Amino acid sequence: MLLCQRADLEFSPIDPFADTLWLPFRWLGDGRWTRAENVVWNRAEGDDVRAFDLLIEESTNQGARSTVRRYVCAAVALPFGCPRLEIVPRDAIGQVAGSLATSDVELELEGFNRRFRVLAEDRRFAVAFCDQRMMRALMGLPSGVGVAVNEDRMLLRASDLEPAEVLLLFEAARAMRRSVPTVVADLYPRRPAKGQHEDRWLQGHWSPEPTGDDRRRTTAAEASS
Amino acid sequence: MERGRLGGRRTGGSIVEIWLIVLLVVLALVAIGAVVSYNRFVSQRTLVQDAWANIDTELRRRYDLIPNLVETVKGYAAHEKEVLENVTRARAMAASATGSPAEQAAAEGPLVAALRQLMLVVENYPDLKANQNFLQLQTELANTEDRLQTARRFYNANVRDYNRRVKQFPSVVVANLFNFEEEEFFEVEDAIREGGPPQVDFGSPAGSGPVSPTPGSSTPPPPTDDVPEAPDQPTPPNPTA
Repeated sequence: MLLCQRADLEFSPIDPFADTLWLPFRWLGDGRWTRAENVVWNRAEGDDVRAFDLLIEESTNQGARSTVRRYVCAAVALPFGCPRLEIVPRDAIGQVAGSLATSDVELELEGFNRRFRVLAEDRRFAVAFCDQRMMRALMGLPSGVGVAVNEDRMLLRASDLEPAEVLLLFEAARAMRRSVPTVVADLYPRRPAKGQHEDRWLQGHWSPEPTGDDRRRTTAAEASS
Repeated sequence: MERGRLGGRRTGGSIVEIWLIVLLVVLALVAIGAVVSYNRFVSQRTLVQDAWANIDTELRRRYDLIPNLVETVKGYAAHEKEVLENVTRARAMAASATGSPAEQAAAEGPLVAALRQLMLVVENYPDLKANQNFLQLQTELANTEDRLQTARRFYNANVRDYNRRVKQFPSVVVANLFNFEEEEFFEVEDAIREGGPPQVDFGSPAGSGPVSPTPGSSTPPPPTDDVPEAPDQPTPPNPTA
């Protein structure tokens, strides 16, 4: 709390925001219960960027002792609607949540490829989102921090961080919000008004233009059904 | 004795059958692997073609903006005739260029250089920089360049993945069998670097193809640890706040 005061940030031990546990990330609903606490945000900027501790009690068989997993997260609001993207540190076993509809994407920076694995439902979105500036911002994250993007939210997640590193994560989240390429909002706008794009959007195509991955995701969806 | 003879023949026959079954299973697995590899090549090649279509769309969008830009600048800097003609000629040559991505990148080189030259000239005309029409065109051009940059990176990423499979074992066997060849990258900056300063030849009719620079090579730009150089478009001027 003292660290937050020194950094001119707000702090609440109890989550004051109603939507933290409703963020559009599948693993938030993995356990028997989920709770957010120790929330940090900047009052001047509102709740577009917030850091918090996330506790998830894992589902167990009857009679077995339950396990509570703790993560340090930072959530960022994005000005566009986008398909699922995960940027996972290669040394973070267990954070990978790939599915049949995602594919590995390799980018131009070898150092970035060595450190992170990029899984995307839409490869063009992955390339558009991870430009040089964003890759540099990701390389500046603390070790072990993964990033997930879905719909209009970005979530940074780490298994365990020191209290001072939580503020570092918060600042990194703010920096990443500034680093998001402006072209992404143009290619992947938020839910549009009625029209042709809305029809595509309702069918699960985030971009008004065919990206080549539409065909692959349709095939994957048919295979899984 | 007869039973022993009969027993020996049965044992020998069983071994042959087993080996036959093993061989059939191995052949079936190889065939399935070849089919899967072939289908993946087809998917990757389709993805490369779709990505190229995105680049083409953005290039057309850029070509459509340039005539308005030239007319707007002409209203304020009519005596910069050489620069304006450079842009117009380079646009015509780029728009009419067809061929491989490397050849198209070579055709884009003079246009990119001419646009950079034009933007440098515009800096000398504050009234032009404050013109609303020019500012709008400038914003649209910057937006188009961003989209083109993204399309180029997406295309090159797909080509890199495809070319890697064409060269790696065992997919190289399928690639050679079914004539899957390496695709070319689209790197305009490389074309400018290799060919030197662009020189548009006003003597040749528009659409006859680029005079220089030399077409870019198909050597893949390997992933690097360095931050890549400036993109293949003129530096988008910042709109006046």
